[in-house]
Amino acid sequence: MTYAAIGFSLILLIFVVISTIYVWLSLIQLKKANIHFGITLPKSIDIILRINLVICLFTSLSIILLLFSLLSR
Amino acid sequence: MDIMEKTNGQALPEELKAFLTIPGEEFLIVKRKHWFLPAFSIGVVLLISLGFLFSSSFVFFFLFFYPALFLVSLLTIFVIATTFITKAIIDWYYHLYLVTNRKILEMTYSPLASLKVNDVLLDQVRCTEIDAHTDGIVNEFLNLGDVSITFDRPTHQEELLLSSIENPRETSLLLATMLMDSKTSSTGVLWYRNRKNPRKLFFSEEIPNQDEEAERAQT
Repeated sequence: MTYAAIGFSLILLIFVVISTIYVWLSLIQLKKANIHFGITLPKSIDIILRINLVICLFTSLSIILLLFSLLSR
Repeated sequence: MDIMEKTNGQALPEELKAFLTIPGEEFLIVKRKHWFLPAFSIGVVLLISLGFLFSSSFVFFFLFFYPALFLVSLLTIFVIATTFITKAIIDWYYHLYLVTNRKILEMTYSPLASLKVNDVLLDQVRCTEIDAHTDGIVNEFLNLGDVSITFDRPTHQEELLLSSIENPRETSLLLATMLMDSKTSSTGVLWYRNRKNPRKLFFSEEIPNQDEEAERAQT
């Protein structure tokens, strides 16, 4: 069961890391798009993206902590 | 400006001044795709997320009791769903159809995926057809459809599609009126029919006098 939990956590970690990188790079690209086209994204979407980035980082951290706890058993 | 307000004010012209590249150019229509498209994507993402949520709660509470894994999977589902939802909104927000008095432009931008700017200079082409079509009950109910503009270029025919926009019939009528106005004001070319022999069509660059027309018919 522990091995299955470790495997599942690793899969979740991969998804969350990909999501984090995507959101982070999107934020950078959207800033560039704002300068290039002059179309500003609504403030609410910008805030949602930033909150999502924070939750992504928090989730990655919690998955890593869970992995450590599972490995130390 | 009135036309801009008819498009529900989805994009302000002040924000889009970077697209006005030709002197004397003004916005006539600025449109995005219908709001139903991102709303539908968001609905699908939420349904799939709910499915994953129920299955993970079943697995980590009833099959194996593992609350920590359930919490982590809950956070992951939330993060991935939010990412997809924001992507759907951003893609919709950066897909614009801009019609000015000098060109028609389609701009699509998806961060980290694609950037497409397709513009047609109205001075360089002849607009031959503007068609509006709506398919299905849902689209009819939401007043959602496509407007296709066919251009006759010297080398080939090209079609520009304003797909899944709101009020396709009104938009096509507006476009037809605008493009016709711009053509009649700019062109000096005239086709006219002979009164005595209606099957004959004469092509002229100037409007002929009645006397000249009579002389031509006699000869």
